[in-house]
Amino acid sequence: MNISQIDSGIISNIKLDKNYYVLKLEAPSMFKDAQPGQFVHVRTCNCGEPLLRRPFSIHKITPAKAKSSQHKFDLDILYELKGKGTALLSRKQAGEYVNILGPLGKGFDCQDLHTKEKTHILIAGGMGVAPLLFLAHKISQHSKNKIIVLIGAANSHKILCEKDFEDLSCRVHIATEDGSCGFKGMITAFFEKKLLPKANQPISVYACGPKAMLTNLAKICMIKKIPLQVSLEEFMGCGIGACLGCAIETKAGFKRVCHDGPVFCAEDISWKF
Amino acid sequence: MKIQTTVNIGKLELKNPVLVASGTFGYAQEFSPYMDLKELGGIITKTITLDAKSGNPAPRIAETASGMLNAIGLQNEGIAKFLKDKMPYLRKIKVPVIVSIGGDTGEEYVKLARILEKTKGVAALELNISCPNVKGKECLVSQDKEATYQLVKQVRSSTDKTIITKLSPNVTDIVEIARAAKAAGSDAVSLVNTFVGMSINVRTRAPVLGNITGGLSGPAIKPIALRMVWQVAKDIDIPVIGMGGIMTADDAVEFLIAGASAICVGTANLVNPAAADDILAGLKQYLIQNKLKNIKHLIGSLQ
Repeated sequence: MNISQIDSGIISNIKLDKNYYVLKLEAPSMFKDAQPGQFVHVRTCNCGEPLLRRPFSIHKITPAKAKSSQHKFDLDILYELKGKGTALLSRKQAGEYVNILGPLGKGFDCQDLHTKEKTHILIAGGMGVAPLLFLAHKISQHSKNKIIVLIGAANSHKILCEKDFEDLSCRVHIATEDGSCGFKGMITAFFEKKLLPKANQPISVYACGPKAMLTNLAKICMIKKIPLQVSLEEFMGCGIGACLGCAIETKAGFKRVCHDGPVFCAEDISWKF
Repeated sequence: MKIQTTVNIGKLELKNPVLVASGTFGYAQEFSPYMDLKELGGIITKTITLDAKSGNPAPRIAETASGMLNAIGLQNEGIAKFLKDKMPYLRKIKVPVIVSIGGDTGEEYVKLARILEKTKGVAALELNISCPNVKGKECLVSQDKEATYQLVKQVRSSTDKTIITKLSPNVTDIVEIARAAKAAGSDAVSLVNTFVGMSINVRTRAPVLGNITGGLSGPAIKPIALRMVWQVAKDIDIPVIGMGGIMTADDAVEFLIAGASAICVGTANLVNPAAADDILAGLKQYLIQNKLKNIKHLIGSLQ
């Protein structure tokens, strides 16, 4: 496995909207094999406050224009301003460095990309778009299969990356809880009631979002026998599988989100329906 | 300048005093991409129990001011799987492997000690009698000097290997517990384990940790840990392994000056997987800069 700890140069740190940012970092050659769903563990400060690293999904990887030994790829991280760590991150500027570990964890299993006539449905809740854009990019690169993207959030201000997905020729559907944009209601309700009845089989579903959304989705997919992969979140310590801090319950006992995941097959998880 | 960094813990000779603390370094293999494991003075494994333990419900970690709370609950696969799956790799690193053991009864510790007595590549045992995150116990063994004495004595009579007893800081007087461990035949003591703490989510009014309480570690506890190491080291004449919030070489030097013969890097491993390596490099530099040819001249050198 090709992973490392590096001080990564910041190319840009752009504010998208009120609380959302994209951090573009210089990444070395080992990111060539990074998989959608994998993450980088970022040290937001060296002063001990906050102490622990923060995990962020890889949002995008593109070949760097002007290459150097430490800069073969541009690595994008999409993040939301939430607490101390992300506040510190938001103040960092181009030219500064940030210490990262990665790429870490197990990403989405993309083995069925070459199955013909398959529809890939990517379902994001809020910030869940972060790893799914990378996934959409990979699917569109390797197959001609149809990609449908469903993005749900509380309101229209929290809908992210709609255009990025459209640029990859994905068909995008939006749902907001307050109805300010797209379907009014939960994205899982849109999926079950509006999309599924019309979707051509076979389909594969990939999801990332809040636990309640994923639980709901797991239930729907289980009943309809649709393969579902979910990217899970849990508060992390080391990020490399050693401290067992980010354990989640699976049918085969506790598993580490950082190392055995963050992507799991929904059927392996012990959901609390 | 040639510097001598060897220290002795019981029958154990460590080529340098930098160890990694139980539970923060997995079974070492996880850290191999980030550092040269064979540079370490020794490796203390995650605590092993006789039977597998599933551990505590999530969330198991919470961040606090300059520190963290954890309540993992000694999750491990049990001694049989440890010997089969983890020990072969640990043995290959060629540094002293100190196996941390835990149990619900003295008999369990004895059984583990007997199994490990026969295991090739086990340099010493650390008795974890101070994990604060195990349910159903009103009092930890390490919170009672008589219980500490009895348990260490039981293990002592069943193994010739070096015994290191790990002490809890959640006591009125840690010195009397250290004395009990020594009197029962412990070759060394290691301190401190974590301080029991808790954290509450003000939005939900629920505890942050699934276990409600957890063990506090990290820079936040360093001054208290250092004081306890100093107190114990000047009172007893067996080696003390000091730990608690060591993040830098200077932190490690403080513990050595206070009287620790070796130190453990713990929480720092979670922040920087090469922390132990960095601390060792910094420690060697300190010795050179201060013209100390032998690390033993630093240990217990408080002015």
